[in-house]
Amino acid sequence: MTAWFVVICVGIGSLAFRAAPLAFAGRTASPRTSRFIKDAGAAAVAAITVASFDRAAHAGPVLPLAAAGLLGLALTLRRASMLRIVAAGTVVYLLMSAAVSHG
Amino acid sequence: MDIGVALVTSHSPGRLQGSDLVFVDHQCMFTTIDTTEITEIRTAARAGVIAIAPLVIGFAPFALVVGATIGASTYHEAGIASSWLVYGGSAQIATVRTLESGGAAMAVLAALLINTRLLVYSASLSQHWRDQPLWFRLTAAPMIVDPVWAVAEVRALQPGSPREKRAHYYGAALTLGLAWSVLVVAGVVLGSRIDTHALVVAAPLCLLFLVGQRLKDSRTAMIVIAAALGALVARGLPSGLSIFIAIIAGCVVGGSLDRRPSSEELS
Repeated sequence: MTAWFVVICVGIGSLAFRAAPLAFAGRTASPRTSRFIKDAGAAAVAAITVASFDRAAHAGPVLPLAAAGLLGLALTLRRASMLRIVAAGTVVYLLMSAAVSHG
Repeated sequence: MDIGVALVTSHSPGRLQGSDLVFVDHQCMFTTIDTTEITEIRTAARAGVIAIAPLVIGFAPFALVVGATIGASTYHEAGIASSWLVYGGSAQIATVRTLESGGAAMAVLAALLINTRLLVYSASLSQHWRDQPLWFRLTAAPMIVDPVWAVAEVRALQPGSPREKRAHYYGAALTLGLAWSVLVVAGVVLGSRIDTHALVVAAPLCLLFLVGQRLKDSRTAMIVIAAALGALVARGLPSGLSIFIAIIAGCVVGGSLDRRPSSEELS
């Protein structure tokens, strides 16, 4: 019962986050506000990425994760496709994890 | 309002031709949707599906991990329902884990702090969707999540009619939503049979790709670096709080860069 209560509360809150700005989308924001929103979007996706790496670091070895992350970053900067980034990073991660556990 | 739909054949009088769809309301007002418009909508929706497909594949392991985490907890039904109600992997994991370790209030707080970024995504899309009708904006809102936002923002900056952009969004968002729900349930069912260790790296790499898409100029790069550093420094705090602090850090750097005189102004 508690779990349902929590999920419903989080669901309502999340829906409010998602819907509130769009409900008032007709209003024109100032250039400064527009730029702030754009900056916040880039910052948000960077923040969730770091949080995601942090969570992964708690679930497995850090060195292979760091290597996979650096390779992923290099491929990202070279405008590689997402599938290539995920495939290459995962292969490096698994190989290094195996090496670390045997070494 | 009752709306009837009639398929008009080539024998129909006036300007109606071929297989135009005719919508007839109770006042016998006629509205036609040309078949070319239907083709346009279908093409745009298909393009949305194609645009999100790599992200669906990339995030699939993360969905399985979320499902496996729910499967390992004692909150199976509520956990599965969170796929539609909360709809965000990080928040779903935080909800389940914090429920088990920190109690209900902390679970709500942690998940909502993680999802504050949705407010930013929604505000970002609201800048592009001013000409879209309210019904679309409100039906689109529940499906906003990181990959959908990334695809929708890229599409919003490209040319096309509002109708095409709506179809593109629905194509992308519904595809991810459906795939996410199925994969989370698969993760719950498969549970411990999934090697989550092997899959754990996929989600961060997918997100890294989304970051890379935004690195188009040095100013954005500075904001991204500041936010990443902010998240690193604050990572000891509850996960949602670190994201919130990182967003603030990014925005502060962005604001300070705007205040700094450019090299042209200095010379």
